[in-house]
Amino acid sequence: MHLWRKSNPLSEILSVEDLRTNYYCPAGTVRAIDGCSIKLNRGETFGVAGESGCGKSTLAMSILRLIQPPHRIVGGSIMYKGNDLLKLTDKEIRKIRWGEISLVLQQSMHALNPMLRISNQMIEPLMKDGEVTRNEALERACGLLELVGIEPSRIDNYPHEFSGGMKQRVLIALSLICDPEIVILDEPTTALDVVVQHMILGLIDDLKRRMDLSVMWITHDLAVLSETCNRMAIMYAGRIMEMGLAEDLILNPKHPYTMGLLNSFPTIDQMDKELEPIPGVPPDLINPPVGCLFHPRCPFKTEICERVRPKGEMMEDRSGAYIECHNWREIDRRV
Amino acid sequence: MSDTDHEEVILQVSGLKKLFPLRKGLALSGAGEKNVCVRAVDGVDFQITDGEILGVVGESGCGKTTLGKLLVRLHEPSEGQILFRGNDITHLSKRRMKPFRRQMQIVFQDPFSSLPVRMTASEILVEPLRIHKIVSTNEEGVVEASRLLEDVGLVPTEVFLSKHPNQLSGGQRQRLSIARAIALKPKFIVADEPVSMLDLSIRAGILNLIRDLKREHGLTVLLITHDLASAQYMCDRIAIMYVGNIVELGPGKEILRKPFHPYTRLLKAALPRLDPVGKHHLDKLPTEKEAANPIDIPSGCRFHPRCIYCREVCKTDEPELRTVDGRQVACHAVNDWLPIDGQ
Repeated sequence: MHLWRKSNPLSEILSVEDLRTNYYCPAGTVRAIDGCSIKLNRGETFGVAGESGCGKSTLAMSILRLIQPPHRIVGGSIMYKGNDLLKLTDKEIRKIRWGEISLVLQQSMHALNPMLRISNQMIEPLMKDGEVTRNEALERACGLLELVGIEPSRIDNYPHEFSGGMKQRVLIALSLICDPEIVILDEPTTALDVVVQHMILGLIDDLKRRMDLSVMWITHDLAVLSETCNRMAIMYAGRIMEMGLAEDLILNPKHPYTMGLLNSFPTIDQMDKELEPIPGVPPDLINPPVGCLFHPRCPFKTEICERVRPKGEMMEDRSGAYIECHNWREIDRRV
Repeated sequence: MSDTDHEEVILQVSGLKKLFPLRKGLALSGAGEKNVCVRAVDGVDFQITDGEILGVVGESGCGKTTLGKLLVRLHEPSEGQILFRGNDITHLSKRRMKPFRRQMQIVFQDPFSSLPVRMTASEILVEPLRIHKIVSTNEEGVVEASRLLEDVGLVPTEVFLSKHPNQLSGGQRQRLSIARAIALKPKFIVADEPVSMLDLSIRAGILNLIRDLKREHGLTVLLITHDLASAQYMCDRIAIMYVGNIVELGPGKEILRKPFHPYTRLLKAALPRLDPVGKHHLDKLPTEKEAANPIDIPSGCRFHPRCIYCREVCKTDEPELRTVDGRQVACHAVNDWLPIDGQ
């Protein structure tokens, strides 16, 4: 893996620049994504981690332009293969969805239509353009089911006849039906038990290699990302706080929020670690804090953090590491 | 059982069962059987000593929540016995249960649905105090309520006293639930997945609060969780449950360092690790099968269809909890592979 990466300079497949998405609610405008930039490289697994409400699912929905009016993407660009997805017509973006970029949703139990057989749900996206016959589509669906470890003979079953883990497998197969380049997984294993979760993680890793996919993996579980990702980003209040190689972020976090997050949940790798919660609560995104979004909870905050929103800094090296903190150098020296 | 007097047994459970009969509906009409039951808790024995945190860990559907509710009598046990400080409370009537209610409380998983929306924090905390006649006037109650809020870290208390649950964040609500649970100064608390609905960054605060309450107030806690890592952090002892049974019970950290039962080993192997350098943990697990169904429990050892150590005897005889190396394990084969297998 690492050797491969060194010999092949990674090419960028998806690039999100300064994305802004607003939700318009009676109480005010929620800046769910407030200037977020990420890059997904071909063939990598890129993780996006954050607490609930930090905008990570909104990011996924925004990339596929699935934000429902009146809520809206209000700024930025999403470049995919030379096109800005935000400038495409509705017809064009429909070709991108599923065919180029597909999405696996969080709640496997609710994402399938309970009234339709799996077969019909799987072949529908393939047949929507009328270029593929029903039999060809069914054949492809069976092949994919086999690939995700489900007996192809069960293709005519209904969703309720599958267990939670199997439904998640069906959804993964479904996301691959149009042979996409990118798969976005939004908390694909959150509702599953650890044993089933482990199998799904292995399955996705395996499929990624076999089908030459680029994967964007959204979850709140840092341990899951540490198992699966090459690079990852830590999101907070609609912005990327820190981004870099997974091992750098986990072993040597630089942003105070990343440090806090890593100290706030137990793992079996460091059994004697004493947990320290991050004080305070995530901010209200209708009235986000002035200055650094994290400053009200930050143990290292200085006077400038309360006034000025930090500019992100891109590291010079090839890792593409990024950090958004006024004091990270100082903190890095002290910790 | 405990050898000294100061190690008082708070709760002694033997042969506890809870079966939920299923009405024969559309889904089961093909089964052609009568009296189909979900065997949620199916013969459980253990005890909790004074001042310990006992963790109950298992996958969803293993019966851990049902067990917790049985202990505080929110479910009626089908069989077995629950002794609370030597008193048999298994089938006490509501009225006779009341003095015991004071001593045993529960914190639920979902802080968004387990608090009354129309009451303020102060009212929520004063109500149990009045019902149990601990305070006689409202003023006394409010004084006590603010002391409770302080205990759970909801300060300044005068601000929080007048808040309704919907004005609080998830973590604050869970703190309020805990304050309500300790209002009557109980001996024993069941905490059912107290952090699984909360944001990552505030979970540690709740876990630490429960540990502090244990230390400072001598609380005894049954912590129900699906997460081995937080069980290990919190618990003195851990019980691993599988489809209604306890399969392994012993000191928390040791069980994780060196699991004996094949199921505990499976759970540990499946846990995602925070170790990005050695990304070798996605290796195949010993089994690809999913957990057994509590309606249709396998014969013999209920784990045998998923077990790589399965032998003939496992398919026919149900293993009992036996003491092995200072902990209890329900496995026929444990003595065979333990010495060979090491970790």
